[in-house]
Amino acid sequence: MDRYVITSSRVGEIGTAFVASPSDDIAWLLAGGFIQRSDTHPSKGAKLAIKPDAPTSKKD
Amino acid sequence: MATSTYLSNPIVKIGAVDISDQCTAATLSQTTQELQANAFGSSAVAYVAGLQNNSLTIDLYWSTAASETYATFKSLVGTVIATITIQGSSAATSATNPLGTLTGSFMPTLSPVYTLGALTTCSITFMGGTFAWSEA
Repeated sequence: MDRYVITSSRVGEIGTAFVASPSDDIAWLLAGGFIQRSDTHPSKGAKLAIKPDAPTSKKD
Repeated sequence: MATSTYLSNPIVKIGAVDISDQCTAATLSQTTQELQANAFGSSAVAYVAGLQNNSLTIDLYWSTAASETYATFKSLVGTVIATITIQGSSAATSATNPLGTLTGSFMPTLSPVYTLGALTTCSITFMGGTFAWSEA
């Protein structure tokens, strides 16, 4: 799924994600400079609050 | 007070793009064709509703800066615009601040007017499409 970031205040807060609705003309918004494609993924430094393999019980 | 006064805050959006700060006027014509439905024996002209024949004209300053009037409309001439919305203010949609949506209207012309000693403007008329008011 494509991700877009807002680059013009005419569409919303600049720098935030653009959530497209079915009626949005993405090509037109891109051409007009209102949004840009974003390849942003979660930071590699991000850590899970709870590790999947962490013990959940203190017994034994 | 019996009227609603809008000093500066109506909202005009072309799809997701808010063009309000370039807009100086917006004139909506919500129209339905009238079809005569008389027959022998009628004593007065009677009508029934035909097709909607809506239009919306907006007057804009002609800014060619990035993401302004030119960038917004240059590629829309001769195309059908998915949605155009117009609302009295940016407050929540309600019975006293209804949201008008023109869906599937056609933009035939883009005509900037360059005038000596005045800001350049353009007037755009969107023709046809389905119009509806929303109060929520």
